[in-house]
Amino acid sequence: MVAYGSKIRIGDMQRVYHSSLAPVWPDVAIQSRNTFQLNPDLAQNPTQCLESSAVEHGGCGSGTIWKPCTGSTLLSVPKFTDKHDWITTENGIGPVGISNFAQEALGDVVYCSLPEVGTKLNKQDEFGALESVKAVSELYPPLSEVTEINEALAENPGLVNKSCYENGWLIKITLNNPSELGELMSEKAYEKYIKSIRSENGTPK
Amino acid sequence: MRLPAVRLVRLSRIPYTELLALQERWLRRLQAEPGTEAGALLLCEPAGPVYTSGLRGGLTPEETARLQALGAEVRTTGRGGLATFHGPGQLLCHPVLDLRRLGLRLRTHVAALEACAVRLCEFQGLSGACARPPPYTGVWLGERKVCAIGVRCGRHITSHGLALNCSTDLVWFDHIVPCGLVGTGVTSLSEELQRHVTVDEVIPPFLEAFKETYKCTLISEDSSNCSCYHSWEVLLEKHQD
Repeated sequence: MVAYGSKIRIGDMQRVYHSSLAPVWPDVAIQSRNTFQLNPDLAQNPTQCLESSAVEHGGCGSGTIWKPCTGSTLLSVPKFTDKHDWITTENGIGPVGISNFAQEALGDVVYCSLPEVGTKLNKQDEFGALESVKAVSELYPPLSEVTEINEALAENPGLVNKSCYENGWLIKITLNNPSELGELMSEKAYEKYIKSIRSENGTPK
Repeated sequence: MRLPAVRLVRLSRIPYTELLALQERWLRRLQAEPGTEAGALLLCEPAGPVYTSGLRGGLTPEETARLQALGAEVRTTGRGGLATFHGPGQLLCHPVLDLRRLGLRLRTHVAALEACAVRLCEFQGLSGACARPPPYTGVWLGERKVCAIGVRCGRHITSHGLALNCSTDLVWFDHIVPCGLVGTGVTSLSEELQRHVTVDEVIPPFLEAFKETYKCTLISEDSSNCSCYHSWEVLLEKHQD
């Protein structure tokens, strides 16, 4: 579920949608995200969606934010695991990293131990580890095969703390079975999960 | 509210590799059935000299060969931290704990290990012991480290822990840069108190510090071998049922 006001990728460009759009676009458009694609025209002219009605032309007027997607270039927003990893995928390939909750909990990362490109991963096996001075945390994959590792982390492991969702990505994987993504948590569900951990522990984090 | 119960596994002098094997068994046990147990506190005194390195390394092949020539074992581990030494006269404590059962995060676990060692030093009459922020994690008396720390965590289960110098022969540390910290020193309780402090002497106050810090009880794995210190704890556990 994409929250209003959050950054959404349009092709390779990003725009921030303000909450004033919320009354215009009902949740049903967002819930259909798997079969819709963001209107690329809005990259050039984001306010077009306010000027032109979505119901023109059978629901695909120039102001539509979401258009039906016939190709396979589906974009998704991050999904989360209960081990505090996130994954986003485009065409079944995507980066994996750790969440803000996890990078805060770790403290300053001083070393990233990542697998080799081509390694096939099992959900149950650790794919790597992060060290935050004297404490090593194992990393577990959402799924699949490693296609790329973030080489920048060798010189600059602190990227995991500074930019855990962007430059601090750890590995890129291919999904063997894209339906496994459905088992992971949406951003909202993950936020609820963190809240429940915090209240379970009873200690401020 | 009942405190979580951690199993006390008190081993005598054993080779380091045996401690690692036992740690591995506990890790598998806790990871196989998460949430059922709080974990185990493995305590021992290493039987012989061993140098270890962490996930990032800490010992080159040349250094390894040199250390082996001195008669020590050299082992790599997956813990945090760089190179350190373990040997007779040292209290080696590996808490294999389910952090969620104890309401801890990894950072607070590291801080708790430091707090245990600081408390123990206080019990021994050394009030100047303190923890220092990274990269000086560990417990210090002035510029000298008395307790080294390095842990690992997977699926909320911890392994490795701390090494507290009681009467360790500190000369072994001269052959490495302990924890990669150039220019710092190493000390022991015996050195600081100017008398021979054994590992056995230190264990009961250490266990007190552990229970206080982790807010848990300790139950002995083998109640027939319990010393008087432990048997009343076991009785209390039974009465609470």
